[in-house]
Amino acid sequence: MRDFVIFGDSTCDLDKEIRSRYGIDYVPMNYILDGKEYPASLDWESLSVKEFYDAMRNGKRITTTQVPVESYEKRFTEALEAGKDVLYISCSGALSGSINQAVLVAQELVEKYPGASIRCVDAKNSSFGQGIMLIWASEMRAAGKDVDETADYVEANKLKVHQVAFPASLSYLKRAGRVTASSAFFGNLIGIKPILISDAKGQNFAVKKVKGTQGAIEEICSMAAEEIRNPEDQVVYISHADTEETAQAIKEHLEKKISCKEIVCGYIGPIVGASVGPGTAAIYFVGDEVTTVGEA
Amino acid sequence: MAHTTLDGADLKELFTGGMANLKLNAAVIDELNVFPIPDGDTGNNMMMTIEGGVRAVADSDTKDVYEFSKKFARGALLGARGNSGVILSQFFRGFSIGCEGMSILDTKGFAKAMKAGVDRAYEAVITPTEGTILTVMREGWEYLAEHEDIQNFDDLFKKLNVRMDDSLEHTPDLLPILKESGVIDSGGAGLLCIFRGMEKTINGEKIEGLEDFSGEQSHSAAQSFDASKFNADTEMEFGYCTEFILQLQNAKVDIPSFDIKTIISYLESIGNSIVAIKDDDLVKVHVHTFTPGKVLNFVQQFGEFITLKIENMMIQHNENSMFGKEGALTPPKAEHKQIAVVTVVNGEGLRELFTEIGVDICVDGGQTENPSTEDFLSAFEKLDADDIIVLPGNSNIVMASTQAAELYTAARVHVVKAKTIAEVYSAISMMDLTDGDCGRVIDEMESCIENTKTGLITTAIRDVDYENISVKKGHYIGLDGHQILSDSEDRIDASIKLLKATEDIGSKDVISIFYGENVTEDEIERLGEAIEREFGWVEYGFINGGQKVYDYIFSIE
Repeated sequence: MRDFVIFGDSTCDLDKEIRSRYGIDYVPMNYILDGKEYPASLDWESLSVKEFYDAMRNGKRITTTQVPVESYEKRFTEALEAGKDVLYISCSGALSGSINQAVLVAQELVEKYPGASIRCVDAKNSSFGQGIMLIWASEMRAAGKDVDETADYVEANKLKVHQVAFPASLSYLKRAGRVTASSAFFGNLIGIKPILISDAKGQNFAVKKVKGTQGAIEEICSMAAEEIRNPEDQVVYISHADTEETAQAIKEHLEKKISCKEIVCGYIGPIVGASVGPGTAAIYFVGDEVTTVGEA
Repeated sequence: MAHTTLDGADLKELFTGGMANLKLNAAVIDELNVFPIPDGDTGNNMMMTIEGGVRAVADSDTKDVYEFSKKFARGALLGARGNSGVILSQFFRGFSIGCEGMSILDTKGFAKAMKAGVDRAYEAVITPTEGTILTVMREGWEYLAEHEDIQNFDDLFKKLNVRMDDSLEHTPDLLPILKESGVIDSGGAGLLCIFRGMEKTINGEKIEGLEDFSGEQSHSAAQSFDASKFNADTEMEFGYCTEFILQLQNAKVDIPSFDIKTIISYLESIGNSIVAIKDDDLVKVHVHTFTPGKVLNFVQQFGEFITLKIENMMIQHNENSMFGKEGALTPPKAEHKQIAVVTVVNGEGLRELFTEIGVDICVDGGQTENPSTEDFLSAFEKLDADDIIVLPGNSNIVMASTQAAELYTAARVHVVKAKTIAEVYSAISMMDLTDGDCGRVIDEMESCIENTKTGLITTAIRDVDYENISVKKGHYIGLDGHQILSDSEDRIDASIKLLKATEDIGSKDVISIFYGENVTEDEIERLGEAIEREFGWVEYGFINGGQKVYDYIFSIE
């Protein structure tokens, strides 16, 4: 059986330690700050977490770009040259067009490398939502599954990964065009926290609003406790955009509501961070399939 | 002399012309970008893509079109950014595949290559959407396929561009978000720019001047017009098409926080066919109005004009019917709604905010902030709703609104007893009218109101001796809506004392502060610092309410 390389991209938010533990690689996107382009490193190689989010707090606009096609070509080719197949689990196609490019590159490469398999899966999620799927893939690989079995499993189960999140405000997401919200979310109101899920189309969808950070923490923890299935078998992930205190508060609150294997906290990386803005926090876990679809 | 064939060198020149024209128009195209992700970068992304192609062939002098187009496509692929850029790069990729086996292109060969480009572009997208760049390129190719008699490229580009422009104009019919936003597809517009640049190049014209997309409701002032239909006795029926670009000015407005809705909601009150876009420190506006002077005066509060154009639409209307029925200004009719919300408010800032959140009508409180039953009834008349929720915002108005509610029969009217503006704000900030269940909306409002404490700061208009407080005329006093809780010569001091005296302040999370017309930015900053010092656990923020009587209204939740 052929071994395979597992790739995420800059939105999977898995840090170096987790990536090396699970043997997960990633192809970076880029972000642009003050006209300068930086690779979106999940290890914060160009700008530190603080520098990055402080720039946003100070009103700098950070834009993001898709994974460059040559990165896919280079990284996928390296894997194929080493006699391995490729599994790429991408950022939600509703948030980034990267997957389209990857699919085209894959089509061309498999013609050049007969017998090789490259599978591209649209996670329809981002941050640790995508990260959880990459970890599934790693565990299946370790259990001896091949790339196709693994990709099929992720494809069939990806909508079971839930996101419940709240940004400090909707303004960053609105400016980045990466949220659907009804007219109930008009106006940028003080202290109002929209609760965002990743819907069945992989878009961030504002399902309800809550007043105050405490209220929002309570709300996302309640939603997670209600929707999680078999918590005792799961690691639950909390990601945050430079708001350590909030992440800790969520963790403590969640521990009172559910007993799971472990709760892991980590940073929201530069690509997701540029869209959601500093102060955002999210919980990712596995439950029943997400069926909600946000309007337009 | 007409060009019947193109070789690689010709294509290089044409694509370079296409790039130059796109570059010139990139900013305009960015503004059109609403689909799929409205991040305003389509023009720039497409430019980077085609630049990648042009760069890759910079040193190439091959005349072989296949060789040339392969190189170009590779460069474009590497330069590709964003969705439209990727689609464009795949179009070039397909175009090059279509050129295989040909060393020069005639018009039929070009059509064949274009077909391959279109096919490739469609394949590149997992779920192709019509009403986008894909539609424009496909309909362009279909035109060529149906007109095999076109003999030379001068003719080909001319006709192809007319067809693609027409296709572009119809993109809003295929993609609802374009129609809602009042724009044509940005990627399609970018593609047309490239082809128009090619057309200009083959005609030996200079690449200059902004493109005018016929789907966009704009007209260049240089257009000839026939004024004979508008004379001393003509009645003005259609108003003025008014367009301008405004440079926002730091001296006038806080540019990063300036909300374009401020302009939009004003324009809605005196015009229609509104397109208003804020791009960093620029605002671009298109509006049809009878009173362009008012528009200009209003927006000049925020900046200065870079360009400005006002055209009498009756003259345009007589000349061509481009504006159709939409050109006519009809009084706005309220859309039917399940639930409408009416409140009473004073102060422009509050009115704007409340409208933005979703209040349908803000009844003007007048000098005495005391509208009559009649005022409420005429507000209800303007609405077409099943249920109307009234938030009086002042205990003095509860009676008048309740009476109006009893008299009005065309809708169920519910008076929710929000007795202060702070309570109204709290109720509407959490409302979700998309819920559709009026009972639940009202319950939610009432629970917000219950959880809200009000704080008001004003000036004592005479000496007061009240229970254990004695206040001197001219001092600042803090009230909770009923009684005086603080007083001081200093407004900030009076505010902090008021907040400290507020019941349950220790368990509150959010303080929203509406400041009145007499308060300076500097004072707000100092008040903010004082709040952080004293009440470090709360989230707070300021809103320019513009109200007269109260210098500060605190909504404490």
